[in-house]
Amino acid sequence: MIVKMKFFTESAARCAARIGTLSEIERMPDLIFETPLLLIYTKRGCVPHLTKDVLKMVTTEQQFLSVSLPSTITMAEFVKQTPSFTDFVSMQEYPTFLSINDPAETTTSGHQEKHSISIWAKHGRHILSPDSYMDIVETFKPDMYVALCDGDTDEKSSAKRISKSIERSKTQLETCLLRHNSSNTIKSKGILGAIEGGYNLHARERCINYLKDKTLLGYVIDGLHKNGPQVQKINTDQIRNVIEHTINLLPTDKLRVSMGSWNPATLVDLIDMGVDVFDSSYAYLATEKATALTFLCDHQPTDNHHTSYVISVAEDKYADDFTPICKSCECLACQKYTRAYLHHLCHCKELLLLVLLMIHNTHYYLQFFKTIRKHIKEGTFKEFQKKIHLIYDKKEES
Amino acid sequence: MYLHSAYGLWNFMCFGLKYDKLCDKYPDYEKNNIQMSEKRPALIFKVITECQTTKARVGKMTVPHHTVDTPVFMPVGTKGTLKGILPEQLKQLNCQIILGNTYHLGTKPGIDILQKAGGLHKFMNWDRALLTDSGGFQMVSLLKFAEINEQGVKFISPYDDSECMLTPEYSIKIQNTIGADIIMQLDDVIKTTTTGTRVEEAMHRTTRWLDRCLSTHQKPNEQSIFPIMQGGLNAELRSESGLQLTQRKVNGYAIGGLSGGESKDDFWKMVNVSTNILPKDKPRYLMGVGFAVDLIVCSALGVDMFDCVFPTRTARFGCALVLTGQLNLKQGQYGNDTAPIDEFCNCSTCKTYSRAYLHQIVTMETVGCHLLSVHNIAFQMRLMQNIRESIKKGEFPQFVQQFMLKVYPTKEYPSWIVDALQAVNIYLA
Repeated sequence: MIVKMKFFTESAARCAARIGTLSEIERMPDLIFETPLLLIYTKRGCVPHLTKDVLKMVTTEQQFLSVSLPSTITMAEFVKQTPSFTDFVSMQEYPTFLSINDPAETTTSGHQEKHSISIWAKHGRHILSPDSYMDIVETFKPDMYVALCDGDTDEKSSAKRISKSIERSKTQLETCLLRHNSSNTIKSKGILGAIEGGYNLHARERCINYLKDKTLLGYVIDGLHKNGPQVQKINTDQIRNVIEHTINLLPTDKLRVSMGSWNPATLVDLIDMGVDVFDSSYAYLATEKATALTFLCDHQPTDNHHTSYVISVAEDKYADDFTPICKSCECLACQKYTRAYLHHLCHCKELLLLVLLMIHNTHYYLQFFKTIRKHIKEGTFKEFQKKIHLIYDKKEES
Repeated sequence: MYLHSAYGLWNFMCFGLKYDKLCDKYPDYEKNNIQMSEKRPALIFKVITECQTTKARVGKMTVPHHTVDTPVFMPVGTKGTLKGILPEQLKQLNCQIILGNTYHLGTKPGIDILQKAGGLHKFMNWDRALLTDSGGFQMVSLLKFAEINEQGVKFISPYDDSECMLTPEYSIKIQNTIGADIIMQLDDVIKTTTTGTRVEEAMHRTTRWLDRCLSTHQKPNEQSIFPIMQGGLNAELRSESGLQLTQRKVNGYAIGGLSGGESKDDFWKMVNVSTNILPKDKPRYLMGVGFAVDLIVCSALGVDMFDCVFPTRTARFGCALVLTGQLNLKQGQYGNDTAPIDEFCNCSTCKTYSRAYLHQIVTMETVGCHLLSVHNIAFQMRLMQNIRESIKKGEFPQFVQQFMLKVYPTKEYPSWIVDALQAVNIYLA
């Protein structure tokens, strides 16, 4: 009998923060992941700046990785020589979720055709039909993936563009599902359907009505943004209507995924509306800007006049600051290294800066999710959500 | 064995000569020596095993932060970091001592910050041994308008065009603040291939600067100043330099002025001359040498310490060290190569990743660079460990022969290697 990946939640509420479990991953039948879950962002098969032995210094717990096509599609012909993508990149012990677009890179718009979509790798454009996409899926063998979709919409998209994105995603899903169910290599993997429709509630509804009858592990709430750093600027107010409307139409027993570098305040709101899975591109983008996340730290007196959300280690005030990024953080970077050292590395443009910041930021974001799950379980999530907003909204004012 | 005993005699004669000269020139030498030795030394060097054929030896060098097994290769961590590798990883690689560059550290973060941090060890979270250079080499190689006079190295600051002077005193002051276990005297650096009176001038000046360094040194119980032997490619001058330096109370010696574009023939001969003169009971550090065959030949010639930026620099360009040279993993031929860089290497990179995957990420992801750096450092560490073990087992000559055969399977050995090894009684047939 084929084991199929399962999502389970006891929560019956439609649009509220909830705890769930992801289990029965074919390759790792003993693993159980709790949601809300943070997928660790990877690029070209690795967590940026962290070799596998360093990643294991960040966390010894089992992690789920997010993999996206733009940075990996050119590997496909070589991955064919090995059993799967994780074998090729030597991440066998980690389950993976394959997404179409890279959540950390702004998606190049346009070039979507009736029967194909375009993705942009480092060396140019790749045209993906549902069949060529499924060939890649069969080669990569991700544990969970999204059916090919046209998510090229955001708040500015026209009704015509939205309508096209829905129609195309629909036909693409048909082919993907057909291939999925008839393939022995991937039929036990988790397949998700993408909900498109931009910011148009009717379009979302149309899309969901179609998806409802399909046998899917869950849904990716797609088409809200075009990825990259801009996503950090999106406030909950801008998306609340469309998210609430969408989730209220979804069955409660299916997984809900939202990719992108949501800021922590928007993220806790998305969790509050019932989204289950995210990726850590936010922590990666913070690292690339030479910043360290501090929004959960007990702030020192020197910071009182300006409670920081992140610290930017390039700033001169850190040149002789021999304290860690965050005194209460237990990551390697905070246990052994000072802000002054990070400042020095930053000014020398040394690679170790990005290693240490990525260690901290990834560890920090994983802790953030642990804290979120704890608060949901203990019924204190609303207070925690408020606390995060208090810190973040202060930053917005300054 | 004939050559070996001749070497012993030469060494003996040299020592006699050295001691006479030194007592003539410096009547207080003996007294000073005794006074200094009453304090706990900042460096203890013990020769554990001497090779019975060559001048190679295995030693243990104890400095305040660590005991280092010699012969040792020291990776270079120029600015208080080793190219994206965590100190935790370096320890896993069994790295016992690393280098920092005084010129760079004195510029950034600067001595104020290093002072406040309590030294470089604390600043960079490295609790094993550290060595810093004097800064002189960078002055001369990096700065356009460096000019050397008796006072020191005069240069135009690249930051504000003002005139600055690096003196022996200032170099030691910075190095005292950095706090490395071993520090270098400021030497009068000349181009390796320089000939004529300038070589002699630099050699004598280097000795004068050594005395200034020693007298200004603030932490003789925590840090050891190594003098730097000069003399260019002139054996007589080099011997003279050695004689002058060995008259000073120091814990070890550096062999300078080599590995700068001279012929390999000149190179090994000068190393050989240098180790003949330097006392056997002190560590000898050959600056700027790091290629595998060079490490083996120079270990056979009696060198104990090496440093080179090459293993980490070449990693940044996508190259992995192997016995026969290096693999440029950017090349298309590795795209389908599922083998590790080196199937006999037990580093985390070779245990985990294929050449095919490394091909995908080198020069694209920083992780690619880190993985190659880990492998390349592991390669150097393993080589040195193999050298030490073969000396201990009394099998060093065989090890050298086998190694050279692997590198040159057709036995077309470069003549300098044949000659250098022959000088220490190893014959490549």
